[in-house]
Amino acid sequence: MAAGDASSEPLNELLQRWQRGDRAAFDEAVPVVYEELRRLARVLLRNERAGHTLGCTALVHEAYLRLCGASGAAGESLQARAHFFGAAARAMRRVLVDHARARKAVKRGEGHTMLELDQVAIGVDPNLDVLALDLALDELNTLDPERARIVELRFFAGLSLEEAAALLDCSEATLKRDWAFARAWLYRRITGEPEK
Amino acid sequence: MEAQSWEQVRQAFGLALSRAGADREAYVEALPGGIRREVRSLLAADEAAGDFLEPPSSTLPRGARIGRYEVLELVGRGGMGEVYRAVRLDGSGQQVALKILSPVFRSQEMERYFRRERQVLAQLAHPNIVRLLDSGEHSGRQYFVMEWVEGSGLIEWARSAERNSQLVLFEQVCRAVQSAHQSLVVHRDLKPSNILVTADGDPKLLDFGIARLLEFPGGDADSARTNVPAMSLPYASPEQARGLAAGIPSDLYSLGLILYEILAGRVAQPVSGLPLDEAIRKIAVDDPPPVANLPADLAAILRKSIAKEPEKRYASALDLAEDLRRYREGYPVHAQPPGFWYRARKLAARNRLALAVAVVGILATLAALTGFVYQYQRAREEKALAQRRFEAARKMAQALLFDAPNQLAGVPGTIGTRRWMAEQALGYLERMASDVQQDRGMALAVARGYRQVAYMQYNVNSPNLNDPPGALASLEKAEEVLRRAGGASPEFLEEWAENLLARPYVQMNRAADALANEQRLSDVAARLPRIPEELQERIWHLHAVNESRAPEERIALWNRLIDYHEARLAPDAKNPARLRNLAIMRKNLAGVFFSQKRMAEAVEQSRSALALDLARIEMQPGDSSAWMDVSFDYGLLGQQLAESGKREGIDYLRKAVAIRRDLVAKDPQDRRAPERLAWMLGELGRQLLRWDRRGEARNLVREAMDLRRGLNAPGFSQNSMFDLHRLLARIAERDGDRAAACREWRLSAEALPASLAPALSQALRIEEIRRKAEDCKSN
Repeated sequence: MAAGDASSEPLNELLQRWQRGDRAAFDEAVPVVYEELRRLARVLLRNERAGHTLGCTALVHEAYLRLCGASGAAGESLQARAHFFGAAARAMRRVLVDHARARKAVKRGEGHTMLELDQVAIGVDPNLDVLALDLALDELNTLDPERARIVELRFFAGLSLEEAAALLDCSEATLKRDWAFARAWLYRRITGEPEK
Repeated sequence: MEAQSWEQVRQAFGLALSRAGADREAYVEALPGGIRREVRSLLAADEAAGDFLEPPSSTLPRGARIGRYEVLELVGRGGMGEVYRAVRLDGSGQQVALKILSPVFRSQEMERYFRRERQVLAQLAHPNIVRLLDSGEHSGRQYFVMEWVEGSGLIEWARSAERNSQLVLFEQVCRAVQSAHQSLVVHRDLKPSNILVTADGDPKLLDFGIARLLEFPGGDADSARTNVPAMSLPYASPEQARGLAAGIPSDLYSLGLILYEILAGRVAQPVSGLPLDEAIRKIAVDDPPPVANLPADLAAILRKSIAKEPEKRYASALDLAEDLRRYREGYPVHAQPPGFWYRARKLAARNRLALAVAVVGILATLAALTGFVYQYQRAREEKALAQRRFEAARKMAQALLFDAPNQLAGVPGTIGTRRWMAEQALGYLERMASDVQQDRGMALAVARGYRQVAYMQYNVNSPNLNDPPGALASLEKAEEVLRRAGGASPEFLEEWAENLLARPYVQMNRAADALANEQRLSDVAARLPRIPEELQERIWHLHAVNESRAPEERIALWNRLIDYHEARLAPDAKNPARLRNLAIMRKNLAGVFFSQKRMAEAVEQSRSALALDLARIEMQPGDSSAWMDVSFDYGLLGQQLAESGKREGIDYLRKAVAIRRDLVAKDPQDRRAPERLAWMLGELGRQLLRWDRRGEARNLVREAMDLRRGLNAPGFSQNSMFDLHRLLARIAERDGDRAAACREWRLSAEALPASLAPALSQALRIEEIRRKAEDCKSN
């Protein structure tokens, strides 16, 4: 696929730079994945049967296939895959936050963006306040970046516990505990219960 | 929150979460105040959160189409991907298991593994291994399709299964693994969750995910090390845990752990949750605790299958299965060190059919032994090796030759087989005897063999071939072997003593032989550094039974033996075997008194013996051998009283006959019972003549003769055929029927055995028979 081929070269390069320790490469990689996710979502939503949800998971996986390719350098090491999914999760988070902001703007009569990435269409609970989650997650990130990363991978990239544990190179039991902790903390934060 | 307390809260939350109910509550309660409040609040949030932020559990939604299949539900998730229940879209409605590679782990390496599993499954066609149906690629993700197996987990199934069916099923698993190994495939991840049991009770092996193809040893050397992807540690072998190559022995170890879990109901290597280095150490070093209440053989099989050293395990899954089968069927298992008594016990425990197998085994063993002897002579330079092999074969032959016949002894209709076996054994021993002159250990074994054959040929305690002369010859050959070898170890001398002690039972009380016997026994015993008490007691016994010894001396010996046995009986007054022993001695003493016409004393001893045997009946009313002894006691008492002219003797003899009739009716299979009834009938008939009850006597004697004819047992019983004919002759004489009397005297003479070595009392009767028969001729 032409689009996939075109964007795979820069992404692989970025990820390799990132692996070598270039932290700026991560920030450059996220928009690449972001664009791909939006593009994919549009294409897939058009082709899918009506009422069929796509899911973050499927989107991210699809993006991975297209951007990194079957035999791309990023595909070969666990670390590189962890980097990609990290970037993909961040990109998906932005996709959803942008969508939520756009929807708010439309409600206030400030814009008329095509809502091509409906929360329902990509399998996210429509009652979830993505903006509140985004804020809470930023807060968690300052307190405990490791746990925040788990939430990104699980929720925004749709990784299973097993997959996330493998990517982060920790035991499933540890990951399960950390995930429960982060999730409980975020839930309490968003539902407005006072912290202490 | 401070960074430090954040960390503490996170840890405490995790620990609280891993506990449940009161346990969790107690843990939280014990936390310091601030942390406790925070943990409580987060636990509440966790409860209330529901599926907040939870991503969908599978990457494929229900209804997704993968090639020719439609996904129904996610059924499992493994390291490499997900397994779905799916249905074939061709209208057949066939359910399948669809395994699809996780995109997260997508890499050339993972795809190679995935392809390999497909390839491995395609190679394996076994009813107990899940079948590969199809494969393909979906959105860049490889998948393959297997038959859908509906069933329960192995361990859940085993919990409600009986031991026997557990083992049968596990043997099937072993055979499936064997078939994989024969296809050069090692599973490397055998564990209970990879084995399902179908509703029909058949096991199915799943998940050849990290299986290795043995046929590419070069190209696959790296992947033989199992670091990627990891096997399940609780079922890993020590070599696997150490990261070494995992081959067939590894699979066998895992099978052993599964067997352990089936039998024990708990995991053999509980290492999940342990730090990795601790888990590896445990797997490499710690033996799982023994399973309680396991029969020794099964425990041995289990130990062998989970030996830490690969070379100590079974050589193949089939060997493991076969040993379990042997265990189930009561055969000696290979996991146990082979010993004579071990094998003998096993042999005894099996059914009669198995004994027929043992007969076939003898043929094979004899053939093998002949070969070994040949080898033994030929290859002097390989003597040590030949010796070892010979020893092993000899032990086997011992079990088969000398134990099997004893087991067969109680089986009706085996007399021909037993005679044949005795002949085979003798032939074997003769070959041995001429080959092993120089070797004392071997000579000892041969001598023991001869003695065992002698026991088969004749003994007083159990069914035998009723061939006393043959038995005597065997004992004499054994003594000859012992003499030539000239060993002087206690073991050697004790065997010699045993041989001599067995003589009285087969020598038919030839006085000269008995004296020579005693002399040799004294010589042999004198060479022993110390005479064991039991041997001393048996030497007294030998002296006491020697009829050529002075009666006073014999009476003293019996009294000494009775005292000795009464002292031993005292602390164990309810021991039936000891009661019986003592009764036999009293009967022997009674016999000596009887021969000295000291009737009152004889009767007193017989009454004591009867009381002892009646005590046994009281303890074991169903013991037919105790009843047989009691009938003998009544007979003896009756005989002694009758001989002293007391008519009540007849009543005792009638009691004896009644008991023996009863025993014949109760167990038609017991071949000794009719013989003993015949003896008692003859004795009652003989004593009835004293009071001239000729009619009744004649009927009883004829009944005894009919029984004897049916027995076809030649030999020396006190009233063998010739004796019964003699009785009929004397009845006819009393009737004044000379013709009938002469006919009976002639028949009696004809029935005399060809080779006779009779005791004194018999010699007199035989002399009478010969003379009368001669008289009748001249008439």
